[in-house]
Amino acid sequence: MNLNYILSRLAQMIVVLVGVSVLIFVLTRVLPGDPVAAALGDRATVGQMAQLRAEMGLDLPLWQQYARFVTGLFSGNMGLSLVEKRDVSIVIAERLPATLELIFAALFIAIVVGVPLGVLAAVNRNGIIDQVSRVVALFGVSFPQFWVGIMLQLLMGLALAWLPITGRSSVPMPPAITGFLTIDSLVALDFTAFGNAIRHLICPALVLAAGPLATIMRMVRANMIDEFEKPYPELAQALGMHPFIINFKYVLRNAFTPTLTLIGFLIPIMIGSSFVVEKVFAWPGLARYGADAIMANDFNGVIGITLVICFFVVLLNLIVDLLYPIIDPRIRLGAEK
Amino acid sequence: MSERAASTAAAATPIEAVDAKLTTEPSYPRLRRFVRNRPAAIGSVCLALMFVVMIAWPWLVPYPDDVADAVNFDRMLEPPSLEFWFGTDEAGRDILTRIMAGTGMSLGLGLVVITCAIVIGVPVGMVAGYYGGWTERIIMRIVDVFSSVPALVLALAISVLLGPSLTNAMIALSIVWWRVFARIAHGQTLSLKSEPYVAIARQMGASDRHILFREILPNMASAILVTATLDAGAVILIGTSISFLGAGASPPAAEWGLMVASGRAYLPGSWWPSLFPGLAIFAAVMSLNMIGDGLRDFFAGE
Repeated sequence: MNLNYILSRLAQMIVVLVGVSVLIFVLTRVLPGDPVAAALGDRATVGQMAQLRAEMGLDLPLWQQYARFVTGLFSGNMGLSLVEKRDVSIVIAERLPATLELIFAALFIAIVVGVPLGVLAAVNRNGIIDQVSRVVALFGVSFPQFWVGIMLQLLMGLALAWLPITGRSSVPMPPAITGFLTIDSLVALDFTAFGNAIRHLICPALVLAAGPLATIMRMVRANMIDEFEKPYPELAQALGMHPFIINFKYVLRNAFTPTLTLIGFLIPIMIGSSFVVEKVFAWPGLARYGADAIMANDFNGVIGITLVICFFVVLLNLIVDLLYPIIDPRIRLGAEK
Repeated sequence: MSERAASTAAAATPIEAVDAKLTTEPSYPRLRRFVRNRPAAIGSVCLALMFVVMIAWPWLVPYPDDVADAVNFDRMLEPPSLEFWFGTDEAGRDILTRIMAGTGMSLGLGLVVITCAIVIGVPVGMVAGYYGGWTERIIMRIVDVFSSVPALVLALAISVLLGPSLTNAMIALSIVWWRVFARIAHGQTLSLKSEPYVAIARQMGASDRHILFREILPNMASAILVTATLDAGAVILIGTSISFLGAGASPPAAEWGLMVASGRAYLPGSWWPSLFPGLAIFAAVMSLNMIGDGLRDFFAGE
């Protein structure tokens, strides 16, 4: 693979990360929100507030505060979280796997269900499957996730009682290796814990997957239909090739590149949605901590979370870009530059 | 005096004279073509009804006293009935009344945020695409920075930092959303500036401003309109989420996301206080999506 391309992308990543850190740093310092007032409450004296402000370095000039933050970052120190009373980096390390597990599970559902449905809808264009999928897609992108989460909890928790509706696990957890409960329990050969983890994942992952699933399905359908206009599917059919092979092996592969771009776009949206979904399902992840930190004006927490999220957004987008030439060998990365 | 004479002279370049004479074709056949798209027609009717409610709710609601902080101990958490179609909430207020009164908050949020985002984003994106070079590089890197933080996260943070309120949620969302239109305007300008009519306009002596706003902008209007309609729905979803999380409208406002949040405390026994406001959000966003999809198909067919 083109090494120069990857290096230039990594450089771009760093520029974006620096930009985001400056943006969020300036926003927290310039806008009226005050962490000290939020942490100490209304009864704190002026002296107490000034003391905490000095301890946190909030009385320094803006550029000195930023310099302190960056030097701290290089020693793996993101500053004290006022919500958790611990260093932000420790909280993030502890909670990141839960959020990643949820987002990967949702992305998995969205792709594994969305892509075949899109192919089916394209093959039966304007047929019953296509019409139903059109309506389902419209619903998928139109409902508020917090509301569907609550309704799903109501349905599952009371009427059906099939699945757990809050938290991540209700049995003793396997020893943490990756932090992903599904993987750790398999490594420990603890199948009860594995089943339990999967059952806890289903509801929040479904809510998180619905919108992306809908958009992926419509995107695959539209691009499959464009590919069907070309001569090669007809030729393959004339040669007696099985329709399943034509559709999934040849046409889908050619039609998949725009979907890959779409998945890159969907990742930040899904991370944003996880803030709401984790809150509704009491999922002990990074996003729930992030929402709490934002609500409490916990500056160090807000900056740490934003940077980690941004890092994953740019990293996953880089991975998506590196997948292009694997899926479609006609594409050469960095060739146009 | 001389300034005015100069500007008249500028307007009198041949290309601007031609532009001034061009009249748009009668729009009725196009309207008919749009309405023939059934989902788009249904969405338009729903949205029009919501706009009527948004303006006329004081005369339409069944229980005008229940809009804000009334407390009716005699009818708390009553299930839906003929008297209270959507039931009553924990303070005995009619939920239908409150949903109708809250229409303006969600639709208004969508409208204001999208308008601000277009006003900021489109000129910035056009300048980046038209002038290129360092201007473009710097502007597009800033757009990248804003795009790499999820919209909900950035808007939530800004809204809390400004102090939670519906107005601040709107400001926060506008700060977040301009990048969407900057990117579209940038891409459109890049492709439109190599069109022959732009080259001709330049040769005829048109100013950059004339080319940007009279030649390029009208030709990207359809792309902006489609995105504006679809994104108004997305903005409403995020706006109600911000209120749901407690960083937007505050009680006793009849904001839909806030109503779902406060109704949650009375689940599972009373499901109606959280069900119906959510359905209202759903109806508003779905109408906008149906219109947006219809507009996209409509412009693709031209």
